[in-house]
Amino acid sequence: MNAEIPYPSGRDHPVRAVVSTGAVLVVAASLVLLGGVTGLAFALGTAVLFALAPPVFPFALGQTGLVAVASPGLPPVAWAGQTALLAVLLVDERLQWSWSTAALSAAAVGAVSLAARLAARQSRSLPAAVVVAGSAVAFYAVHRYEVVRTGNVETT
Amino acid sequence: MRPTRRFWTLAVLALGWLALSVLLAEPLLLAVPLGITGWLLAHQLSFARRVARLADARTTRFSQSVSPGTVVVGNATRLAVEYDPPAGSDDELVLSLPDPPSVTREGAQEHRLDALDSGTQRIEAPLRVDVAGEFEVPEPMLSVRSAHGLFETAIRVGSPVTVTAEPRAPRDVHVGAGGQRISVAAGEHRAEHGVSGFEPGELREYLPGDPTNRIDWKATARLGEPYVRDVEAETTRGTRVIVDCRPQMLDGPDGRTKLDFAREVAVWLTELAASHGDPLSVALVHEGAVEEAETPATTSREYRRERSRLHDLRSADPDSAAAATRHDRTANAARATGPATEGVSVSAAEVTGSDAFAETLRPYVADLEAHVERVSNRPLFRAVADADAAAWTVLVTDDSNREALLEAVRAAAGDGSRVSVFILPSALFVPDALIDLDAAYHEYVDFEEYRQRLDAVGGATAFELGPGDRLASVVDAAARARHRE
Repeated sequence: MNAEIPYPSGRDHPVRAVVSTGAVLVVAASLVLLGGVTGLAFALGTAVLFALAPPVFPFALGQTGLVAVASPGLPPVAWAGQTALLAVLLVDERLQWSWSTAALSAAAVGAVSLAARLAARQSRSLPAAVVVAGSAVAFYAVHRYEVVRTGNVETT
Repeated sequence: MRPTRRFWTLAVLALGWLALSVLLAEPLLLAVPLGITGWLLAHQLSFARRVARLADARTTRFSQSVSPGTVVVGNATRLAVEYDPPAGSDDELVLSLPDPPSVTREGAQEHRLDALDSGTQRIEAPLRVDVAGEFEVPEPMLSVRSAHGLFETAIRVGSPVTVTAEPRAPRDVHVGAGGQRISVAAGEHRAEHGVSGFEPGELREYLPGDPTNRIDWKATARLGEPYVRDVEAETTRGTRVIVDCRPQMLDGPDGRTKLDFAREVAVWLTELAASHGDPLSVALVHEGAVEEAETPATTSREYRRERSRLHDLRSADPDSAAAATRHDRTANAARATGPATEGVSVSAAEVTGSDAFAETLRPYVADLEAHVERVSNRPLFRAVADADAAAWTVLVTDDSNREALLEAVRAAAGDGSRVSVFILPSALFVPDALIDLDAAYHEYVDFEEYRQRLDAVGGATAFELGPGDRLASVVDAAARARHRE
């Protein structure tokens, strides 16, 4: 297919829009409180990405900013920002959530996280490898589910 | 399911943050790739479920049909796909119509489905079948792309349909006389004309009186007794097939016009001549012109050429069919049936004077010349006039112009050559010919009388040619009417 779906430029679901906008404000406030001018820069970048790109982009920048300004350790304000970042990621109006989707996604991420934490005891780089391998397995599992469920061969 | 470029972009970003967390020894940075992974996984799961629901409803939400299901080769049928778009979906749906082999689809192949459309929607496309046979049109393909453009997949929807293309050739070709089918004897011909050679015949025992130069010495040595081999003289007889291709031959339903029947007979005659090795000429009579090869066909390649010319016969410009001469009994009956104008030595220019005798004679002479001019300018007559006296002339035409045909047959048979005429009765090719069977039967009786007149011409044999089923309907209806009386 040649048609390109543009990135959403706004939020058209009212409740989700309110929640995600509020979450971004909390993230911005945390960054500013913890990081001063640096935090303000991260906050502005996060807000711009929130307006122009899918939620994963402001999440990535916001998380990076939070780690940059709050390390070492996470004070309570940072935890608020962390929670708000998760909300930005999850409150996606283009994602049709269902309980099973949420549970499976959370379980997969939780399992990979646990494996990475256990691998961290062995070496510094092993958690990264565990995250890559675990993610690949999870994606392939969903791909096989789709192929078997639809019973069709893909076209290129 | 296939990830798109956007998916891989995000995957690379996640890998970058992963590397950063290792380099900077910041475990909290691992939250970024984990968050991206979780988000992508949630989208992938949600998309897979939506596609699965579409696949479950592939025959209820989508249906494919073709109308008509049977067409004549070269004609178009219509492919239609009806669908009920899934509501509330952000996914991009594109329906691709199938492209089966030997079938030409016109119009756009891809159609974007709008989920906002309510109710059943319909997509149509003309299909043209170029080869006779039965063809399966596979299901259309529905391509689905997820919201955010992260994943795409394709599933078949609806059900396959079958299109049947029938050849442009009539199935029930009737050749006969008086409504009865007859066999057209066209086997070996007598050696009335030049002998071109001899070919070996059967082996038999020697009988006293047999010429000794015919003894087959190999067989004699093998069998221990003298044997002779008979020989058969090879003879050739030129065959000239004249096919009328003028606009009036277009009458009839598509694929079963007069021209289609004429072509079937002409092809059969071509194969007959080829099987005997007889020189063959095929003349195609068009409006105002006769199309013919310069030399008769005598080799297999040349016979194939003539067959190809016949198979390539296409109807004339369809617009001219509207002005084609239709069967008109009144016109045929009103035409003069005088003999050929041989022996006439008086022309209108020679009838001068203003006396009563000249005034009385002039119209008759002028009309005669006009008759001669009309007849000699007709292409069918010209085609017959060019025929070799020694050849077997075969005319395949209809009865639209009966007097002209009669003159042509007389001219062809006049010099002692054999003439066969295959005539198509126009009464069986007019639209709705079978609605009034009584009138159709009377028309057919009139045609049969005319055919007998042609058959009575010395040296000529006339056959009726047409659709057997229609003729049977007319004849049966007449028989039932007589039975009721």
